[in-house]
Amino acid sequence: MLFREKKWSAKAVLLQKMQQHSFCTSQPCDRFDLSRKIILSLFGITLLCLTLVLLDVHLRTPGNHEEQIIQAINLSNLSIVPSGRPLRHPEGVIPSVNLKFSPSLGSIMINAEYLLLNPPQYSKSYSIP
Amino acid sequence: MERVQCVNVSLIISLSGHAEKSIIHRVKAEFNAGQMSLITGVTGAGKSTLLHILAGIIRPTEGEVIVDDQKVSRWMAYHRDRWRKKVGIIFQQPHLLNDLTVFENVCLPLIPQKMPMQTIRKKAFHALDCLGLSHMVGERVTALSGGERQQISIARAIVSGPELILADEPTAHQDMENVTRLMDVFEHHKRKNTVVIVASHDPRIVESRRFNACFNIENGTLEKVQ
Amino acid sequence: MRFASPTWLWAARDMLRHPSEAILTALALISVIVVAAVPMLLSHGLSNTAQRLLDSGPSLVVRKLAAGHWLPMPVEDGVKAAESVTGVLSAVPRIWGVVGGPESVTTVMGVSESDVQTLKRFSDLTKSPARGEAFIGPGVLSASSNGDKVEELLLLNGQKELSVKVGKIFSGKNSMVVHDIILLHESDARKLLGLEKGFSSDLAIHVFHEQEADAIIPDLLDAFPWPVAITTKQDTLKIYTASGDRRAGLIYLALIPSLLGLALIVTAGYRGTRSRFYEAGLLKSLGWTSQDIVGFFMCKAALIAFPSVSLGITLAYALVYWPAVSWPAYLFFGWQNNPPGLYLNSSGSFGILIQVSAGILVPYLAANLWPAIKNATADPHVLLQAEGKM
Repeated sequence: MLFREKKWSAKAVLLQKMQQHSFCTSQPCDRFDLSRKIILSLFGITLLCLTLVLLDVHLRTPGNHEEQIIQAINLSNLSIVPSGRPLRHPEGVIPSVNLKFSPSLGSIMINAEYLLLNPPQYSKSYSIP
Repeated sequence: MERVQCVNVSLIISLSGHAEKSIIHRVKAEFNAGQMSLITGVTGAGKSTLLHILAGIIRPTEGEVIVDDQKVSRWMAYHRDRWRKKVGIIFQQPHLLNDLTVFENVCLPLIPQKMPMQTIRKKAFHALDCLGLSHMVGERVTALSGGERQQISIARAIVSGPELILADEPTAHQDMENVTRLMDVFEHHKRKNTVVIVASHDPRIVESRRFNACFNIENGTLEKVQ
Repeated sequence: MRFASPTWLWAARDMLRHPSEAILTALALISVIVVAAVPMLLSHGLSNTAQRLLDSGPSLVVRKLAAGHWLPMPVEDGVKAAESVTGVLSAVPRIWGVVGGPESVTTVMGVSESDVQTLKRFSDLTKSPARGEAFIGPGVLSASSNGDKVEELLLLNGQKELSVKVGKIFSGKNSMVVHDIILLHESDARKLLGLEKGFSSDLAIHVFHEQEADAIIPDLLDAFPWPVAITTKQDTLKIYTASGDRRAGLIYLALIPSLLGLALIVTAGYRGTRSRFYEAGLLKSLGWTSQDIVGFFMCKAALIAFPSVSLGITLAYALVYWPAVSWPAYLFFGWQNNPPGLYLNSSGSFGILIQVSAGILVPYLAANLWPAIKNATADPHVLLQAEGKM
């Protein structure tokens, strides 16, 4: 009983001393609290980033308007490439004219857009057919 | 831990060419729990090396360090790690990490001990308080004097409650008050059945008459004088 | 302190000892991840989305061919010939062409009466283009936004000049399909393109089974009484995929510096951990086991690497899949101004992100693990002797 009381009083003195010192004062005696905050922040960032990406991958639903437009007007190409380029209108490339074009080579060819945008007199453009 | 024994412990190092030098020569000694032992000797006699061998930092080339009938000096690296966990060592140089605070330096041995951070903080504070250093917990060690730095390294050595305390010139740069306080701390640990071995040639320690056994080391050979 | 073990706390505390090193490493890792992931995601997203969208389009396009030029397709004969082939579901004549628009070249499509009925099904289209009226894509007029400038007149230059009133601007969400497309009344389109009644630009052919599209090409060639050129959906898709890949390949040039960056990060990580032998020796002397030391170094490496990689992949993902992202069209598809916003399909992209992350994380963590093991297994006495040599 006496031993337990002695132990308790020693603990109380230590706690009192700890409180008197920098644990509770403005100057910290260690930076473990800051370290803990850094770990939590980094963990949070990691979790947030992964969650955002995963959620977006799984919840993103492509709208069907685009498909309906394609279906309605029988589009065979997308508007990713500007109009007038063979990559945009592969069906418009005349097979007998070698434009050095192939799907695997890409667009090493006459720059149709440049010709169309910078003719000597910009009055008419070519059209297919 | 009951006792630490040195049985014909030798350390021979290779010099340039084929030359060799014997640092520790066939040391035989026994250090018992609950006792405080002093190893004296002139500078370069091999005190620090012997302490490093006992701490498991250096492996002897011959002989054994036996702890409770176990040859710890022959243990493989993994087990020697476990042995070092039981040892608190005070180096001749304080070996503190300069960009940390006093408190953080003292916390170092407790970090891998799988205890809550609050417990680590309590233990570190207690160790510093024992040595009257609680007022400098938040100081950077670069701002401290040599004596203060040595005191911090003493606090760091005792913070984990080691079963074997090895102190190499612990009173260097200390005033008499601190020497007395330090000896009290060692006494306290001795009473808790810790093996305390101090290597020093400080007359204030040698004449303190607080040791149960005194050894003198000369040219690597240890001799019991008391 | 319950949220993190002391080893993790110590690793974070150690980062604070060398904050600039940690920040630089994190930034380098983020950059390398972004540079590596963006081309892969872009290529994947483009081919995925093109596949999904073009699935709704015709399987084959048939054009009448003469020596060195195209000819208008006689609608009646063409449709009859196409529909005589087994496997053809329908053959729809298309009226379209490329004309000079108000700002750049645009694609004009004539909408027939049957198309109008289909178009009317869309909620945002309450009427079809009337004579003298145009429904335009969001990219035809760069200054326009949805619903604005509907009264503006467009001057189009084809075989003839035509002035039409803007009746509707498609939503930006449809950019990938109609960005620079102008829908006109069939008669206006014919007039503009110089296409007489009874003729069309080509025939869009739908087949019963998509997989059989290639197989019926010889029959189709035989069925038409004049020479024709046939383009399949798969050809078009190959163009998109190959084009996307080829362009993404250009970004891979950026991988060379990024690989060098990764090599530097790995070397810095290796040297950074290796140069800590004095501290490792001290920690071992103070009772840290080899396992504790390796754990500490790996915790520190993980604290830097995992958030950096997560940030990097999120940034790369956002760069490619952010709705209406327009930089790929501007940078890789030759748009001079007002590029279309891409709405790419992101399914399957997480696997790519995992691959890229692993490709960066594994060498980085290995570069930290190896010296950590070397430090941890060395004799503490040897390590301590390195004091001052750091």
